[in-house]
Amino acid sequence: MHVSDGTPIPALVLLGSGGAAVLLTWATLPRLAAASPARVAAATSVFFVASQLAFPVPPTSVHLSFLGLAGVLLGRAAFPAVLVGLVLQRALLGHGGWTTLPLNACTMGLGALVAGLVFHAGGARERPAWRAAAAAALGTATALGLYGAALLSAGDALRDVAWVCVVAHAPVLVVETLLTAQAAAYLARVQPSLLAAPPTAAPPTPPPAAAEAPP
Amino acid sequence: MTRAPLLIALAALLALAGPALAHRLNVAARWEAGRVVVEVYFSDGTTPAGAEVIASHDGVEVARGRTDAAGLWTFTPPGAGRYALAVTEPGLHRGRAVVEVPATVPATAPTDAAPAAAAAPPEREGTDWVGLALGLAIIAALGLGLGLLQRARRP
Repeated sequence: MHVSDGTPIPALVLLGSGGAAVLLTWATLPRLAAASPARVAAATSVFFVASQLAFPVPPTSVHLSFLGLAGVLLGRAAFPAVLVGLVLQRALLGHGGWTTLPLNACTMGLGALVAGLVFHAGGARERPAWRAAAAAALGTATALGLYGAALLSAGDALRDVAWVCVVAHAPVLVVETLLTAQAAAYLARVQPSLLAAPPTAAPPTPPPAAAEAPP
Repeated sequence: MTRAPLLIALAALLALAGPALAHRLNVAARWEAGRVVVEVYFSDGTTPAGAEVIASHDGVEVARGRTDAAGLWTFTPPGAGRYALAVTEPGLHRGRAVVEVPATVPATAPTDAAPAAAAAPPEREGTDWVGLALGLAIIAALGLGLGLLQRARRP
């Protein structure tokens, strides 16, 4: 699901850079300061490692991302988590490209944000597995749609290839939907607090204790 | 929801996944018996058939072709020098490699391209476990840093 260097038109690369900067600012400033470090690190690790779970879908090869699970666990803080995962994937594993890094952050990060929005919509607590399934399906579908649009921006030469790439990722959507639903069902049993909506701001600073009254 | 969907998905995933779990498109090339042998493969062991390979010398394209089912393609370079290989597989994963051709190549050798059915595959890279471990360590360090930052901000 990574867009490689040289594939999209330069204007889209610039648009992706601007979009990533805006989303990073919006998602990071108050939320990341309030997010559980362990939860952020765990979701980022899952995103980073899951991209190594590749399986062939002729004529290409696809891999998982678990961006839906990141959205379910982190809400808006999923965007910086996805961005860190993408940077590490490019730097250490050779996935994607440096110039397309912001664009990839937008396509996958927006997918994660959609997943978080769907899962936490209304603040309902019932049926976490089904809500996680819907969140993962819609989040992954969003990322796939943006990925396909990025490829189509390259012109008619890549039109057929873009469709092949998007269709080849259909199994990814199915597998991620199932696994995210199972993960949510498991967490609902053993640690339901992990599925609660992440705080949107750091807790307020308590007022200083009043000076003791003189006797 | 039962565990059946999870087990089915995991079983299918493990059945399809290669022995090494990685996804980068690797390009290996070497000079062998008057030809340059190019092999294209994912680190999970799968080989993309039909990957387009463009060989260039000093920025000028000298040969172009597609890999066979084994991910192999060969070409005969027109002369000695350093050849850049750019590969794009059908899923738009890209890879690059450079191969040095020694000066023993006849200057009049024809340029052609053909599948390398009999060529021995070059040695393959495996999953980058060091990269994976380093990435997880960096994520853990970032998480620790975030926790320390939050603690420092608390009154």
